[in-house]
Amino acid sequence: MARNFNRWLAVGRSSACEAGPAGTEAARAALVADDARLLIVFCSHRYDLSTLLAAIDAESGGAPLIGCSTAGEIATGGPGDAGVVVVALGGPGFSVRTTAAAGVGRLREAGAEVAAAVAELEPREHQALLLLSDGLSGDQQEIVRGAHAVLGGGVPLVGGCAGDDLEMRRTFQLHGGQVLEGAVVGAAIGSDAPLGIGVRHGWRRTGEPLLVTRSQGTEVLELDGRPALDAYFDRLDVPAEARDDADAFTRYSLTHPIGMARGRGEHQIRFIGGGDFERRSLQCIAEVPEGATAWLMEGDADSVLDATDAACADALGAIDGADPLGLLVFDCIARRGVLGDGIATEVDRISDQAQGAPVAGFYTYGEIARTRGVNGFHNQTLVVLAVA
Amino acid sequence: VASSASWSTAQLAEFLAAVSGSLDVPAARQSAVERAAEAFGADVGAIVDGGFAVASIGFPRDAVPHAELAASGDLDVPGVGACARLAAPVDDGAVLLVARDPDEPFTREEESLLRAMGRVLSLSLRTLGVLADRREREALLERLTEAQRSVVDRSGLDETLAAIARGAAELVGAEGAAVRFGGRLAAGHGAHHLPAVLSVALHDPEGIDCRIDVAGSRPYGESERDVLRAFAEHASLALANARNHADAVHRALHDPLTGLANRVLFRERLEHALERCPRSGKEVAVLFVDVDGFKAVNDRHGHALGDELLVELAGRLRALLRVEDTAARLGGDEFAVLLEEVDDGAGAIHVAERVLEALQRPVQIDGHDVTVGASVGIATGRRFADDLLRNADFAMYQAKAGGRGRYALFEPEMHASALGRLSLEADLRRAVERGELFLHYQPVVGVKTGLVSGAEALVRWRHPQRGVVPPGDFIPLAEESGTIAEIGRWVLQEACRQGAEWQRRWPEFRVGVNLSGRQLAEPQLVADIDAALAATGLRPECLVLELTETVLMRDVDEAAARLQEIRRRGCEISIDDFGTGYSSLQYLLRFPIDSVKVAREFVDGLDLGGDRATLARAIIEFAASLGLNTVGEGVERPEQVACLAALGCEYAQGFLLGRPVAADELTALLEAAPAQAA
Repeated sequence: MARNFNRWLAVGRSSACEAGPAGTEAARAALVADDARLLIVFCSHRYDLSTLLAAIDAESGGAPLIGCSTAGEIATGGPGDAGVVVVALGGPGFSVRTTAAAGVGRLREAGAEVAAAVAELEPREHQALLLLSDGLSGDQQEIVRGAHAVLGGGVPLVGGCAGDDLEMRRTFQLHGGQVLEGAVVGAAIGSDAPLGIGVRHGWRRTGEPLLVTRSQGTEVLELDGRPALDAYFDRLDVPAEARDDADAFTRYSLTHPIGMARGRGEHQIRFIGGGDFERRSLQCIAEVPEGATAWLMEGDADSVLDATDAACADALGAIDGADPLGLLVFDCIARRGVLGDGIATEVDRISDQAQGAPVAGFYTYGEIARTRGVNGFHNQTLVVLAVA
Repeated sequence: VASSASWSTAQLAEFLAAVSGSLDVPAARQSAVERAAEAFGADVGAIVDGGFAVASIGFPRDAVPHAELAASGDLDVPGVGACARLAAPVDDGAVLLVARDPDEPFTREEESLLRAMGRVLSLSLRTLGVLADRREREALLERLTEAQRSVVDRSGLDETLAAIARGAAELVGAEGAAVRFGGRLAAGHGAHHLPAVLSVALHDPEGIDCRIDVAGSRPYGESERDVLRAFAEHASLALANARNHADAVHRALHDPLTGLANRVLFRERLEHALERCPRSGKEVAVLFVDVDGFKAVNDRHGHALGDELLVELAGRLRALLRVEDTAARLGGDEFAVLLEEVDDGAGAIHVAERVLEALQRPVQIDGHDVTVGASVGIATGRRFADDLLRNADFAMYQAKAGGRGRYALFEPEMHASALGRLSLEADLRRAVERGELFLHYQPVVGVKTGLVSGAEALVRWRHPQRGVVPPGDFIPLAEESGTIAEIGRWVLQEACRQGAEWQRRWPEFRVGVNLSGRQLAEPQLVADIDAALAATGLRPECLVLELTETVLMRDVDEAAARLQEIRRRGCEISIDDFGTGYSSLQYLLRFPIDSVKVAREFVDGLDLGGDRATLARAIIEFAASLGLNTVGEGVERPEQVACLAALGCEYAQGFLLGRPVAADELTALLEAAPAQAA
C-alpha cells in the first residue's frame, strides 16, 4: 500500500480455492483504511462469483466495485492463476462513479452509457474512465467509439477485456454485487493527481506490407490476392513442423502476429490464433478488415520485455514526476505465451519501475487505452495505468 | 506508415463503404468524421457548415466549440492541447476537417486523401436515399474498388492508367475515355478518339497537367461530372501510389546485382506464360543455366571480380533473348531463361546453343581475360510450373554429367500426355453422335414457398473407357476445340425436350440452359432456339437462358443485339454467377435481362455478416430496383435461405435444396409434392 495525505491505493490477493474465504482474504488485505472509494476485482472465472462478491462486500461495507474474470491475475508478488486480486482506491482525493451496461449487439451504446458516468463525478482536476468488457462479444473498438463520442478527447480511456483462462467460452463482468456476461462495466475516476497511461506492444515489422484482399470478420482468407496461409509461409521462415501441425503453428504464430496500419499511430496488433490448413486462412482474435494494410510482425522475449519497460515509463512519465500510488496493468494473454516461464520476470520488471508501489492487473483478451486520437482498442499489448 | 502501397486508397475505400452504408444524412456525417479521424490518427474530426459543426468527434458531446471549429488556424482541444488542422471542401461551403498534434504535420498524400474524402462525402450526401443515386454510388464503389485492386496487384503505371481510363468510361457509360499528361495521350479506352465531352483534372504528384477526358457523342450533366470528379480524386491517389511504388516493386522482383528478374518474378512470369498456353496452342520452355568454373574465378580473383563477371554474363543472356522472354538470376551462379510460346523443343534447343556460345566467350575484367562456360537444362510444357522447374533442373544435371558446355532436353512422358489430350478431344467430338452426353438437373426452389419452380440443366459426359468425365475437364477442351457449339446445340435441344415433358404436367415449370460465349457469337443461335422450341413444344417463357458476365462482355454490341432477338421470342435471360465479373453495373443495363443469379461466394457469407453480406444485400437490392428476379446460388445452410428470404430474393439453388440429379429422379421429386411448380 502507498498513501499520502488524501489518497491511497492498496492491493490484496488470495489463492484460496473457496470463493468466500478467497474474497475475505483479498479484500481484508486491500482495505487498509475505512474510506475506500472503489474496489477493482480481478479473479478466476472458476469461483462462485456471487459468493466472492458477497464476501468482499461484507468486508468493504458496500464500497463501489467493478471487476472481471481473467486469464490469470497479476499482483506485486508475481503472476497467478485461479485466484483473486482486489485493488482498493481510497481517500478524499478520489471521486468515483461506477456503471454497467449490456453490450451484446449494442457495444457503441454501451460505451456511451458507461461514459455518461464521468459527467456525474464530483469534479477533480484529473479524470479517466476505466472499462472492463467481454472481448468475446464483438468489435470492442465500438465501445471506444461510443465512449469517445460522449467524452471527447479530454478523458482518457483505459482497461481490458475479461478472460476465462483461454477457454474462450464465457467471461464475466462484475458490478457491485452483480455477476454479468456480455457487459461493459466502467468506473469513472476523478483524482486530485494525474492518471498516466502507457501502451506498447513490442513487435517489429518484417518485410514489405501486404494487403488484406479477402477477409471475413476475424478470418483472413487472402493476403496480396493469395491464400493467406501460403503468403504467411512464404514471407516468414516458418519451421517445417508448423506447416502442417495446428498446435505447432499456433506456437509459432503466437510470436508472429499481424500488424495493421490504422491511421498513423503505432501498429495495431492482431494475434493469429490458428491456421486453417484446408481453407488456407489465418484465424485472428479480432477483426482484420478487408482492404487493410498489414505487416507480419515478429517478437521475442527481449522485445516483449522492452515494451514492458517502455509502457511503464510512458505511464510514469505522464504523471509528471509524481510518486505513483500504484500501477494497474492490463497485459495481453498472448504476451504471457511468448514469455512462458519468463512471465515472472515481466511482473518483477513492472514492480521495479513502480518504485515500491503496489502492482495489480490481469491477463486480458484485448486492451483499451486511448489518450490521443480515436483508436483505442488493442491486441497483444501491455497497458499500464499509473495512479499518482 | 504511409509507405504502404495502398494506404490511402485503402483508407478511402473504407471511408466510402462506411459513408455510403449510412441510412440518413446525420449518420453519414457522423460516420464520415469518425472514419476520417481514425484514418488520420487525429484527435478531432468535424464537418463545419455555415459556422456550425454539423458533426464532430473529439469534444464532449455537450461542449462542441462550434465557433472555434469554424475559424481557422490551430485548434485548442480541451485535455489535448493545440492541434494543427487540415480541411477539405465538401459542398457549398461546408468543409470536412481533421486536427492532430502539430508535431506530426500532414503530408501531401494526406492532403489528397482528405480532399478525396470530401468529394466522396459530398457525392454520398447529395445522393443519399434516392434510388438512381444509390445505383450510382454502387457503381462508383465498384470502380473505386477496381482502381484499388490494380494498385494492390502491384500493377505498373501503365496498367493503372488503363484502369483509370476504363473506369471513367464505364462509370458514366461513355463510348470511350482517355488519360492525358500534358496534352499527350497516356492511356485510352474504347472510342477515346471521339471528341471529349467531359473533362476532369487528375492531381498528379509531380505537378504535370493531367486529366481524364470522357469521349462520346452524348452530353453529360452536372451529376455525372460530380461522379467523375470523385472518381478522379480516387484515381489521383492510385496514380501517386503507382508511381511511388513502381520502384519498390522493381526492387522486390529483381536481383539487385544483375538487374535480372529474381526467383519470385521468374516464377510469376512462368505461371502467366502457362496460363496463356491454351489460347496460343504453344508451349513454354524453361532453361536452367549453371555457370561452369565460376567458383574457381571467385576463389582466384575475389568476389568483386566474380560479381562483375556475373553482371557481364547477365547482360549477354539478356541480349540474346526476345523482349517477351525472361532471364532471371536464381541465386549464386545459377540463371534461368523463360521462353514463351515455343513450338517444340527445337526452338528451345536453338536458344540453348546460343546461350552456351555467348557465355563461353572470354570476358575482359580489370585487365584479366576470364573464361567460363555453362551447362543448360531444358524443359518444355504447357502446365505445372513446379514440374517444369524440376525437370529443367534435372536436365541441367544431366547436361553437367555429360561434360561441361552442354545442354540436355528433359524427355518426359510429355508425348504421352499430349497424345492423351488429342484422343480425348477426338472422343469428345464423337460424344454427341454416340449419345455419351447426358443432362443432370439441379432444382431451383422458391425461397418463400420452398417448392421447386424449375431446374438448371447441367451437361455430363459418360466416356466409354474413362467413365464420367467431370465438366471441368471437358468443357474447357470443348471451348478450345470448338466442339462446344455442337454440344451446346444438343444441350438446348435435350433440355427443351425434357422441359416440355415436365411442362405438360407442371405448366409453370422452367428449365435453365447455359449459353457459352461461342454460342452467343453465332448468328445460328436464334435459329437453334426457334428449332428447339418448335420441335419440343416448350413454351418460350419457360426457357431460361443463362449467361455469365464474362460471356456478355466479349462483344457487347453483338451480345446485346442477339439477346434482344431472343427476348422478343419470350425467353427469359438470366445472368449467371452475378457479382464475380468485374463488369460495371451500368454496362449490364444495356442488356435485356430478366433475372440475376447471385454468385455462391456472396451467398456463402450471407448469414455470417461482414462485407460479403453487405455486397450480397447490395446486389439483391440493386436487382430489385431494376425489377429483376434474383436467384441465390450455392445455398448450403438453412440460415442462408432465411437471409435470402429476408432480402426479398425470390429463388434459390444449391446442395441444401437439391443436388443435380437425373431427369427421372427430379420427376419423382416433383411427383412427391403434387402442388409443385405452381
